[in-house]
Amino acid sequence: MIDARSLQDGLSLSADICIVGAGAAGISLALEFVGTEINVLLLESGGTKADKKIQNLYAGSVTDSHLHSPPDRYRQRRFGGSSTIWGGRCVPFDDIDFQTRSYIPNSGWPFDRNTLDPYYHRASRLCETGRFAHTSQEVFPDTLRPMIDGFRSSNFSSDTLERFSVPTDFGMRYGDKLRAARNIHVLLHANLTALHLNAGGTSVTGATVKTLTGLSLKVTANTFVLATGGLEVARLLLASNDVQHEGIGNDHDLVGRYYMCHIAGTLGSLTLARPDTVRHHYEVSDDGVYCRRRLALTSNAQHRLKIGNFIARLHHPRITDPSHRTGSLSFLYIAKAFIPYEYGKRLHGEESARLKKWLQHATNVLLDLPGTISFLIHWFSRHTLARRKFPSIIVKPQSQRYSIDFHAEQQPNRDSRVTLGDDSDALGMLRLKVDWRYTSADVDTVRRAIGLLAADLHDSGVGTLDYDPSTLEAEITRYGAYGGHHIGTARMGSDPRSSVVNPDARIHNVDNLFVASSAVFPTSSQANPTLTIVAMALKLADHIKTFYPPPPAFLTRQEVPVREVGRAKVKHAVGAA
Amino acid sequence: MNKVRVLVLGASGFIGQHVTLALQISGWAIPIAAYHRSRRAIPGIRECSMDATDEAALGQAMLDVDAVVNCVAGGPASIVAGARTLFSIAAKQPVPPRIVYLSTMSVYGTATGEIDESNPLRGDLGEYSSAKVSAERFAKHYPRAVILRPGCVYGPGSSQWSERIASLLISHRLGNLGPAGDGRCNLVYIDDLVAAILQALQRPGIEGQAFNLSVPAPPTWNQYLLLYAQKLGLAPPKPISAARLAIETLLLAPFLKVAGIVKRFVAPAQTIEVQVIPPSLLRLFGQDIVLRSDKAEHMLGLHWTPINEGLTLAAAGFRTTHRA
Repeated sequence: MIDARSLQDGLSLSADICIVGAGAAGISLALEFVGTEINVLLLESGGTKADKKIQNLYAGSVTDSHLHSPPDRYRQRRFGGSSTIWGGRCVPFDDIDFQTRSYIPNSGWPFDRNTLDPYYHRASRLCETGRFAHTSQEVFPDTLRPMIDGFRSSNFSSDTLERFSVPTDFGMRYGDKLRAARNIHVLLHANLTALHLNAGGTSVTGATVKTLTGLSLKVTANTFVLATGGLEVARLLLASNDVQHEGIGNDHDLVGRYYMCHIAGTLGSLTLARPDTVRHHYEVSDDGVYCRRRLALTSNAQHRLKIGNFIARLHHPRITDPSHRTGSLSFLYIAKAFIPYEYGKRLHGEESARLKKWLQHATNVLLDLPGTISFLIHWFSRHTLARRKFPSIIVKPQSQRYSIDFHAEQQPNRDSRVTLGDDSDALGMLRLKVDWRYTSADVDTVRRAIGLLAADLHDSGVGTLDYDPSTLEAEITRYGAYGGHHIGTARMGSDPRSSVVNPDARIHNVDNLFVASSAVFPTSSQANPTLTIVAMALKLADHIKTFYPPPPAFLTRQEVPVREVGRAKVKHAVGAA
Repeated sequence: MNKVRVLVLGASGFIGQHVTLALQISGWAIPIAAYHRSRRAIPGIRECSMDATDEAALGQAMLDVDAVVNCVAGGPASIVAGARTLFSIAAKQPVPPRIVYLSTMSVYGTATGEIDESNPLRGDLGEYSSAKVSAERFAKHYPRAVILRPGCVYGPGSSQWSERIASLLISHRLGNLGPAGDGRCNLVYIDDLVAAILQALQRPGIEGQAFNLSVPAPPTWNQYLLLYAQKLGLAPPKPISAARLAIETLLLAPFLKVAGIVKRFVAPAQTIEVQVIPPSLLRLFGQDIVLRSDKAEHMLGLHWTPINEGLTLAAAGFRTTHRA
């Protein structure tokens, strides 16, 4: 690893492959080339620790701050990228996510789920989520009580599993491997500020890299890969406008558009008909991984209702409302100042009548002191101290009432977009302006799925899900776009008129620039993106490897017929010792 | 047809016992089992007791044998002295016997990546590995030697790679090692090693050659530990932090080593096993080395026992011996 700030100003660096961004995607990609003859330069803006000045390069503006968090939140500009703070939830995209659905404009991937399956297996290894098995039938055959006893539904399946990563910090986990590899060079504190095209705009000839100490370096490579997150891919493409004035890959005004997150939140109040009929907590698989079941809307139901993908989990009641009478939840409310922004968002809001509410929560803690203490002990030992972290707080509510925690697909929408703003950062790059928007179709996905779930719960007699349909839209968008899932800003497809990258994740019409990022996802699925980001990076690695065929057989010693290896060679080997 | 007389040096060890037995039932060989310290008589097998560095005794034992297998374990000094004696005595025989010499993957030292037999022998992993490189040098000057370089030999009864690892897994001292367990685990199932030795004794045209022995596409140590724990019926191994591994190797290992020596004096009869994780083992867990063994596959005609199968047998063996 090299600190770019220690290099000489104006220095030129060259490599076979230049990867921009050392997060989950960039590191996974670089690891694929360890031990090969291919020289890889991995550029990372940050160092090995968080740094406010560097993080500030991510700052930007948001059109409606109620709907989207500031762009320097939920992503980390440092070695390891946002995998240094992620929650670790790993879920593959479903078959339906890859299909062109007539009722979802601009849906459809250029390949199907089967194409990605082998990469999901390898990605699971890198994310340390054990084997790639995401149904409880495979992982817990006949050993689990039903998720909700008596719940029968042809619309929802409780068989699919989310598996949880350690959560793996890719920098910590794989940094040593990259350091040890002779053919991989990691350049820290190196900010790519522009890619330069040849006059015809068909090929990247080089890149400008700057440091916060004022140095400027040049990088040349045969192949460039943007492995930054979904927001920064758009920013870098738009900012690289010396030859193509609208930005690279933006001939059809697509870069930065179709920006998706997920529609997520908690709503409703589920009252069970009988107590203790729910088993919704984390299970541990035989390979030691935390797994959790969820209620997934089947593809049949999606087709029938003509809505997007959707899953729901049983959740504790809303923490801010003290009527749950649960000490541990009230403790979290009281301690919210100490909880990181990215995980405490849902603890804030409703700031009126503060003192009264605070007292009610304090009363909950005192009345439920044993529950609160055992929660804290559990959290401290299984999460704070553990290397494989207990993923999240699951509390059995004192009131026997649950809420529904949902995570739904957001549909591609041309008007939801990021652009370059007017002010620039410390390196002179224009900052991002985020104008995230949702549509009535997105609300409809949740409205209809929740309605169906309520009906199925009622019909199978397990309980009643109460919610107020008239405030549903407000509830759904209460926390705005789900943080950290930045999708679609350089969408993938076969047709250059409707996509930025081709099915190999290469920018249309630029022969050596690739993107390894959720930016290329044409649709967002119900699933969290990281596992798929890593799988796509591995797929890209396999594609790039085809540019570097192994040397001809007659030149490699392994291909010499074994019988002719002969004594002389062995003697030579021993003699060399 | 005359049977081939094979002198097995180190016949009381884990590998030596298996080799002796396999030769006994092979139909084409008569093993002569040579022991130094302990004697574990196998019915119907000729044996002799001697020190492998004792020239006179070795010369006597070699008088009427056709081949020698050397499975002697020992400290660095005795490895070198043993090899010097073995090859010089053998060279003086009227008809020098073929010698199958068991070396180790440690001769490649700290090398990483895919390693075939033509890679240089660095021997830079401490005294054991440099002693084995010196021993191979003696073998090189002997025209009828076949050198085998196995990885980690495991199987039921393997104290180093099956019993020890099982005990450490059970006591939660090993588990998911994170980056420290990303090295590759070049395993050889004991039966495969024995098959290799028997082939090395018989095949024509392989004298002067060295062969790596390891299952192809070896798993990482983390994968191996997880699979082995499953086979042993244990709960999934927990992650072991880097700090804990440092405590194990830097503080606990020297202490346990001393405790083991003290125990030998105080209560020599007691068979309490003291398992140590020395720094060298931890280094191996992290070493990204893959032994290429296709040469042995082709020239010795070997078939590798799949790891899944081998670990099932190793775990079953462990459960049987530790139930009592």
